[in-house]
Amino acid sequence: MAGGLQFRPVAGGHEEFTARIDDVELPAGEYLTARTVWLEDGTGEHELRQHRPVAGDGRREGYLRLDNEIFAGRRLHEAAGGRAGYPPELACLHGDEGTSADPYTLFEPYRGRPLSEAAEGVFAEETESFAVGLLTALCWLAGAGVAHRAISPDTVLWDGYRVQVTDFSHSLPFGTARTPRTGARNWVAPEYRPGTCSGAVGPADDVWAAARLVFYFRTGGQDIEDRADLDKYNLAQLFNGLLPHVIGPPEARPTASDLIEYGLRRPSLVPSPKDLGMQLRGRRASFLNAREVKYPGAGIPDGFMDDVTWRHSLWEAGGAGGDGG
Amino acid sequence: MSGIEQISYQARAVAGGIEISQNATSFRPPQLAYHWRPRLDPWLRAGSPRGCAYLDSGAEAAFIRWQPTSLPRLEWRSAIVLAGQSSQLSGSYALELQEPDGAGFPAVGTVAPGEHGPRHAEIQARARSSPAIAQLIPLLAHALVGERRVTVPWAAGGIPEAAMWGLISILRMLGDTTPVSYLTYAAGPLRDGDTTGLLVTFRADAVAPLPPEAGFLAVATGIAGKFAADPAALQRAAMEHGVPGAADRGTRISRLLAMQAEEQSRGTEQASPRYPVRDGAGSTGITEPTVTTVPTVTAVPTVVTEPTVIAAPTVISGPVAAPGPSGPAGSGVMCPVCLHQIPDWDALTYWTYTSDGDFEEIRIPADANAVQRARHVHGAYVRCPSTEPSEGAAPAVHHYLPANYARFGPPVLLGFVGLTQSGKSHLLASMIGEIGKLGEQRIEVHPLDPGLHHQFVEGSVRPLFARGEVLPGTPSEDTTTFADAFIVRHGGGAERVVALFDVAGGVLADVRKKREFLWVANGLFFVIDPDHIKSSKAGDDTFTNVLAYVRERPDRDRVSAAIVVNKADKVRFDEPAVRWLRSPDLTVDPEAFLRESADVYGYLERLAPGVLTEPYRVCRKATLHVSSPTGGAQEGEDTSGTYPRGVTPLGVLRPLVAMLAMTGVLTGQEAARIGV
Repeated sequence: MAGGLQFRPVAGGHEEFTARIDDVELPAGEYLTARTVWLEDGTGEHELRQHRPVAGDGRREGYLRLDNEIFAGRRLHEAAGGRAGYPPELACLHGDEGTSADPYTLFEPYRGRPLSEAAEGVFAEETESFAVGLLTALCWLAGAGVAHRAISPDTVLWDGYRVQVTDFSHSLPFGTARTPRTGARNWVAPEYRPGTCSGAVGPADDVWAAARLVFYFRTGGQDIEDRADLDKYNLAQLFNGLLPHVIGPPEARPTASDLIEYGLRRPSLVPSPKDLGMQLRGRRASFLNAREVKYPGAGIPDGFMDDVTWRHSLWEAGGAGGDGG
Repeated sequence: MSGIEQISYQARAVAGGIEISQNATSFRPPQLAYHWRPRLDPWLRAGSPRGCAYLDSGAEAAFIRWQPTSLPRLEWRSAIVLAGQSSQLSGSYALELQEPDGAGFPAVGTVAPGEHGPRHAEIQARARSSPAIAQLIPLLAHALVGERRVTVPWAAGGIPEAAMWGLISILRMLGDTTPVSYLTYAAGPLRDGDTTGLLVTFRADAVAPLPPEAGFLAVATGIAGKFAADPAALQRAAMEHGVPGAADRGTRISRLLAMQAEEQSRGTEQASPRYPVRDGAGSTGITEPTVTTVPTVTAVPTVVTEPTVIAAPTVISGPVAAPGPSGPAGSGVMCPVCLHQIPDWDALTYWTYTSDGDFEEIRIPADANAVQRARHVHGAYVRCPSTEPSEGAAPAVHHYLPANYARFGPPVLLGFVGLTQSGKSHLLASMIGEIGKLGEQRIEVHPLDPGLHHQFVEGSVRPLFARGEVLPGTPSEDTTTFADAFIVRHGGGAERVVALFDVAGGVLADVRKKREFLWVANGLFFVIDPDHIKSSKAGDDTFTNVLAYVRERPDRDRVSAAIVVNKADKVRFDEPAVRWLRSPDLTVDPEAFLRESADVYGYLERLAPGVLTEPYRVCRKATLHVSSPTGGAQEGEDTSGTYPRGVTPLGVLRPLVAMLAMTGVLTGQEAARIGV
């Protein structure tokens, strides 16, 4: 079918296109549904994925999930400095219509197959490449101050060459209160499980599932049953002994950047997204100046900037950095 | 089945919910318990250890109490059920039983007709306390009407159980044999389609139901008052008037009306020393359980233009707190309408608002006892003694305030100021709609004037929450009146009256308009629409005009400010809205408030340097917030629009909690640090 689409491009503004819309519904995570659309721009057609909230009882939750996708997509775009610098390891938001009763997001087409389908056919030699790609994606997310919170074989794609992280419908900004996640226990970190959910969203949160996903990739689709499993496939060696820390509590967990730099010992591969937290720290500093004028000598609480200091590695701050764990 | 048997059930968390299994039973053979399981299943799932449930089918009945657990994902660990014939296991008798230990209820066995349980005296006393009577009155009115499903706000302190005991006792005294089932704390939805008779459900998130017709409420009020004073006298009177023998509900109501009319004409109502009437310190003579939500009350909302009124509805029932001597801060209080210092609040006469739109003085007989006095002045008003004409108004326009207004020390007056269309009315409606959640932080709230509260709920909260309707703007009237007011207590601290003012944006932008409340307000919410931030000339005038008053006040250091970026759903993908809109509302955490204030301050300063943060600099204590009263934008531009995503308020209680802390309503070291 055909129709018109009006939306906000990820960089801002307003665009309107005639579009051809596929009738086939695609999976897009919980409470969302996807379909393919082709925007006609005068020179040809531009294929995109359109995500929409499901109808019925789950629609209200679908609105929230779609908001999360928009938030993450805009943040990543800003951290990447625009489309030209956008990392291929992350699904790219093209635009969104986030205000009407029928909102949607538009993503560039996904690339690859979910690891849940692709893992059986991968080669052991590709493990490091997969790990670098996945951790690179997490570094970009961390630079944008976004926790994905749903890293799993269903949301991470592999095309035989590159990783692509998709489905940002659970994303939250760093520093906000963690909220419980349901789902397969193997992919939900303890700090997000109902009953043990606590603390604030931080840059090491996604690394827990990422390490398990590296194991899943290396073993062709197996889950970690025991920490000793890591030794069986040379993963402990590959990561310079850091993986056991990853499986541990978040306050002593290396970040994705730590794992590339100290685990894989490939510091040159650590990406450099814009530090979006800097703007927030600047705003807070302006408030503290005004407060000092109003209340001279008023103390500043310890860790006042911690929740907007996204590149902070608790693992590294704890003295573990560079010693191999 | 003979006697009362027990069944225990156990809950286990499984993927997708909980699994309930029968654990033990006193039924012999045990298979006799099996038929209860499907009937009880929805009740077991809906309940919680914070309450109990009674299911009456007319022939058989079951009573459930849940045992708490610390296990994750489980509301309860085990549930103990009593099952028996309704004639033996009545809804009131079940509440008189000792609560079960881990093994079950103490042995019950066979119950003789009229036999009381071991806690009979205790629950009866509690049922006659003023909080329980306040809860009971609307329930009784609904029962008299013949309604089958009534859901009311939950209140802490065993009030629902006490009210249900009173309700069932009264109905049986009156000869009403309708089966009555109840769930005194619903933690989840209850599928109750086949429950016989009346089902009363208490929910923490419930909004008070629509009140029954005023006449029924009046009858219920009279019966409840008599029950509180002397249950035996009520039973005698009902017998004398043939109420229990009435063939149908209509006849029963007619006889009740005749009974009340006759007794009023004879003046035979008797007082009881157990009837709780507040003394000057706020005690009742009976230990009062805590009330955290508002009782259902009724009123006849009326638009009044003359004379000037603060609150106008006719209150037919409500909390049975009788105005008495003033509260701990003494009698002197300033009238928020004319700024007249009222020297002796207790010396003021009482007035009632009549159905013809005027006030009429209440004549209390000199020999009235405490109960009679309480009934006379319940829901009453006092008239400000000032004869000075208000600025710009006709001379000697009388104005009235709720009689309880100054009973709890100096009231705390909070105003909402901001441009037209900044969403002040929606923010206020959402705050009041969500205000019951403050109970989670030990902040007890109940309405000062039930009629006024009802008027606001029906006029603003319910249209917004239940129907997703866009509210009309605040009328631009010459006189600013408060929209609603509450009695608030934090922890074990003192009760304070908190009155909330909504002011039309046009009033604030026009220096010629009357704004008396700005001279007496303790706290001001400065409300900003994100769309107005960059085009803030009118905003400048509004805030500047308001702050000009604050600067001139001799007590300016006592004015607190909460700057609220309202309708923040419009900027929900950006900082600081994305960080704070979904933040937990209720934590009294000064560091979290400081972070939010810093983020919002920086945001406003970046977009409009020096303009919208002025209240922070002028007011001694101040915080900054983001909030979204609706959670999403409206469809369409005018007030006929709706909210297509439904209404889910976000962040609306944080400014209120901060303001309550800054104005001293909340107590403790943490609260004292908020806004500094």
